[in-house]
Amino acid sequence: MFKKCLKYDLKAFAKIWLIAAAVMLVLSVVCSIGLGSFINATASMAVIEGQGSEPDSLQIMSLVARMCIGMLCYIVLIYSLVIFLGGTSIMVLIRYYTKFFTDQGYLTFTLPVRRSTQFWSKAIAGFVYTAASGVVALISILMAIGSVIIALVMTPNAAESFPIEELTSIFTPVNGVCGVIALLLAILLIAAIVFASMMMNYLVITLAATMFRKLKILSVIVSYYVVNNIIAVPIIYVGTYGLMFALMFLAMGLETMFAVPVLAWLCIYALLLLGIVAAVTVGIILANFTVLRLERKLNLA
Amino acid sequence: MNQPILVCEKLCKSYKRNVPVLDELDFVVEPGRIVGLLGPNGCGKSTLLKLISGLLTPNSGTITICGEPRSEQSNAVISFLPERPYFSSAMTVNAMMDYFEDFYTDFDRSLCEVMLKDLAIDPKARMRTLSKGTKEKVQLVLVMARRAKLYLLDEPIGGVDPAAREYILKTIIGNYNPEASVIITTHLIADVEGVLDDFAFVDAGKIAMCGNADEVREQNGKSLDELFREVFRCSRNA
Repeated sequence: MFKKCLKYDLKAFAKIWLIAAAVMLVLSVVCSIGLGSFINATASMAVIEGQGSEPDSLQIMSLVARMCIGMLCYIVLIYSLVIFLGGTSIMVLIRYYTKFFTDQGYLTFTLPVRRSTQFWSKAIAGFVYTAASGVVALISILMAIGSVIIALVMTPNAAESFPIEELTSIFTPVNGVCGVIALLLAILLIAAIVFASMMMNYLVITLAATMFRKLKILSVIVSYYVVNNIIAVPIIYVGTYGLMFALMFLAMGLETMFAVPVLAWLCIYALLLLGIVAAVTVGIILANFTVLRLERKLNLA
Repeated sequence: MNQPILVCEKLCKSYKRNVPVLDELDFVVEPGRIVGLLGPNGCGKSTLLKLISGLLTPNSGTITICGEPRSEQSNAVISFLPERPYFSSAMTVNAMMDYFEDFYTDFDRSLCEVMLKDLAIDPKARMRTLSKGTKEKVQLVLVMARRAKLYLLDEPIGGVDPAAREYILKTIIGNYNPEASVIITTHLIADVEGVLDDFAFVDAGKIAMCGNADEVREQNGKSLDELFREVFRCSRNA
């Protein structure tokens, strides 16, 4: 039954999400070209000024036009990323609310499927779409940075005025095997934080929808604000983000503190793993509360 | 003797503290019966069906389905028709049939297709393009195309035209498994009276009167519709 539930939960978003992701990627390509053109123009101008010659009016007009287009592309890219990522999260939460707590819940909860199965199917489908959106956003950002690097590389003598080496280092492999392991663990930590945050959102919706019979959407918003401040801030954000920042500082200092670099890496791994375990544990506890509430207090009047 | 399909014992439900909708209600349904659950607005008919189907959690009391305490697995033998449409408006009728086929092993797709054809409903149509009455017909057809043991029909004929009403009642009688039971709630007592084996009048969260429909008609020399008007007029004046 879990496979069937997951199939429908994944299918529900597939069409709209694929269209949104395709639009996002096309926008990223267009914006990256615009950004590249802007950087190329700025770099060319800096090179001309560096050589001590004055740019002519045509060059200034071209620069202003490319700057405007570049800025527009930058703004469009940032807003579309926010809308795409935020839209995915909202879509996932709306589906959860609609399938469980509106008239559609009459069908959902009269299926011969356990409520925990229904919940985890929606949670996993939501997580898959959130993670996939994160990957699409990362590709878009890398495309934009890539276009900036290409524009700088194509401009003669630009390396003297712009930090091309620092930018290209983003695309170089991380510090050997130890670095790759740390990077993978860091990605897992981010995924675990996203998971815990999603579970908190589901709990908030479930609490509000099962406690209040009227003004459910308003009560969801109020409950979100309350629970977010009570649970999310101290546990999820301070706990896991704090851990990440601590890691960064430790990563900088440990290699110099320890005579053996392996020990430094082991400390980093241990801290990253601790963060992952903490976030996943919080997520599972919140999920269990939600399932318990669905099993014991469901009232679809 | 066969065990009852449904047993509700001392069932209590209230939405607000100290305002019971169901008050220690006892209700038993034997196999192979069509039972009319009748009562005025707000007497607790729909609440009872929602408790049986698991959409509401009782404050106290027990519900037993086919000898087992109610659980998610009971939904495999219960076919519930709520009073409001529960499908996503983006789904087509065909997609709904796929959904039922996937989740209910007792769903008879060919029977469903025949009934849709009889009611001239296009399986390719999306829910949002259908009228309110047609949506109700689609939902009823899907619910009745299951080979369930207990059918819970909440106002199945309330929103459809008289011609379709007749077809729906014929469908209810003709398609359910003879070992199964049907519970119908409705205000249109005169319309459903002919198909009922048993009846239960619900008033203020309790069963005010119940029994065999034919016997009660014979004893009182009145139709259920007339008896309903009399009982509830009396209970209001008391």
